[in-house]
Amino acid sequence: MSRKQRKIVHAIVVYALVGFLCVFAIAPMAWMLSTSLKTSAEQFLTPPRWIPQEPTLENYIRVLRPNRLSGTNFTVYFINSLFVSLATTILALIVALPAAYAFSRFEFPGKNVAYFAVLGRNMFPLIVFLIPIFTLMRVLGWINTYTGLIVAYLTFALPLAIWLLKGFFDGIPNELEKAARIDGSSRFGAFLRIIVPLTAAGMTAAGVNAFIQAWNEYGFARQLTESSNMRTIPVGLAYFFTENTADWGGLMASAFLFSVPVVLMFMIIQRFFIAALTQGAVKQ
Amino acid sequence: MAEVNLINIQKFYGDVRAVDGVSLNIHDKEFVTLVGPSGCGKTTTLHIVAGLIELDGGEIRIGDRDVSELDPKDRDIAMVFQNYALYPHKSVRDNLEFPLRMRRVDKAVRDQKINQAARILSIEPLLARKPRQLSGGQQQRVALGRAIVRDPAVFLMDEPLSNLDAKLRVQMRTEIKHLQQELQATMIYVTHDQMEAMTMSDRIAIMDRGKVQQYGTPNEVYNKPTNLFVAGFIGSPPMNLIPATRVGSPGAYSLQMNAVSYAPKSPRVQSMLSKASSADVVIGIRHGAISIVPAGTPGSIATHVYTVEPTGDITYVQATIGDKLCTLSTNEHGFHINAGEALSLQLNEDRLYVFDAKSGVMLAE
Repeated sequence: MSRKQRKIVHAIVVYALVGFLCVFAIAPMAWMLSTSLKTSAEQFLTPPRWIPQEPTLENYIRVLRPNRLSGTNFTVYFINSLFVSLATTILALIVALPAAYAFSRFEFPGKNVAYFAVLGRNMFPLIVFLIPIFTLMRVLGWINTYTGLIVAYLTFALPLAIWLLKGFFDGIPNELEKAARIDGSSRFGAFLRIIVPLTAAGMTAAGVNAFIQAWNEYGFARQLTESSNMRTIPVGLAYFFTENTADWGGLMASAFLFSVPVVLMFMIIQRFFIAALTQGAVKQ
Repeated sequence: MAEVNLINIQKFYGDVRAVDGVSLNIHDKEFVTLVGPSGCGKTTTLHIVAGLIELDGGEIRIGDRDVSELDPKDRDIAMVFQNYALYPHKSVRDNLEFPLRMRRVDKAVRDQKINQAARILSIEPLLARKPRQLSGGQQQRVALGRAIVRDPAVFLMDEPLSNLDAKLRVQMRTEIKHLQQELQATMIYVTHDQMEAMTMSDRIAIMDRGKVQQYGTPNEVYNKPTNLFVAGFIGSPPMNLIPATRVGSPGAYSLQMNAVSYAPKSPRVQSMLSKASSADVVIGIRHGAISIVPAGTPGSIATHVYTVEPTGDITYVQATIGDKLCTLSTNEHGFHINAGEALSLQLNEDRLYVFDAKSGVMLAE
């Protein structure tokens, strides 16, 4: 084979593999969108149709209205999810910023043990903590409250945020704070004026991570909420199946609405996000 | 500008005495360099003066104020770091403005100071750029600019030239020296490069193991090193240090350097030798104080050429004296000699020093 032929074969193989990956990733999403736009009759056609013949928004209209029969209310779930996820994100950042800074900059007794404990949380599957946290929340009286959910979510959002931000702080030379302190800042002023602005990318990465994890979480939300008006979307989605019926159209419409915020967020900050992750990973 | 006094400064890290009783008096408008090998405590000392490291004992006075307990921002100092420590998210102008802004200086005064500093350092065209868009030398200038906008009482320089390439380093050396004179600034400068220390300073403090070994003018530390450490550290090439045994009687001592025997004629050297605590001494002599003489000259030492290093104006010749490899130099135009050739050397006894081998201290004349 000549060099040119080899290049062509190489390109074909690469594009085939990339194409396969894209189909693998996009097909379920497309199917979700397609089903959500079909009438219930068209949903069960064999062979299935990718493009709905009579596209309809009835599924969307139905799920966005409170359903007295099944007791589902997507709008309430959406607000719950949004509030819990945003609160988790903001609290995680507020706590993780100084914590990561301390782990990065200060020497104190028990530092390594404390850092290991923070990271250690990520070594166990989330489900392991379900029962202990449930018991804890019951003692605290936080079952079926936003507080309970947010605190539970912080158990996974915080370690990751601390770890990510510490990587960023480690990459910022110590001398910058020293210079700022000599130039007239207090230690905290140097942190606010110099270090925090330089960590914007890291805060974005940590924040997006925390938000997505909280947004998608199912297990805790299922366990820690009781009344239907406290459900988050992932829990709410499960209620589209009852003993007798399965509302596929409603489920798919809800799932689509559920995906939109995350997809939008990624589209807007994608480049920033990837740059942030790699920047934290490699010390300059 | 102000006088700076370091009075018996101490800093311990566990059992390590990082700074062990350093006392220095730095005059107003003086350029003082702390020099020494890595780990000698010079940077720690500078950071203690800056207030970035708390001291465990002693006192720091800037002007007539005791600043030992003050925050860095309240000490009226400016500092330039080895890696420049420019704020990456701020433009050059904002970097220069930051210390003024922190001190709530009026906008009009700020602009005037920034423009003045930019003019002195020729960085006017760079004011709008971000630090990452600058070369190393330009970043260095901006760092200097950020220090001078404030007219501080003291400038602290922490190895500011170490990250530059060799050529630029020599150029910036001159510029910093010139800047110090122009601003009439008190400057404390830290470096591990003795050549920088020699060329820039009014006085040099040579440090080792947390202590000041000698504090004096470049001329003093070069020509009158107080001990073997200073003798070996200052000068490039360093002073030749030859272990020797003192034999004979007072006034007529001679030196045994392995197989070589040498009888110093100068009363000065004889006097120094008489003060040694034992027969073990070390002879110190600079490369320029050894000359090549015709074979058989009385009092000369016969040896062989080990290597020859021509550098242009000066040619360095290495040869052994009593098994110890020594460097000598000649600036004779067209000088030529080959490795292995026989060589006769004469020592200039006016510039020959005797150190006590046990204590390492230079013996008094």
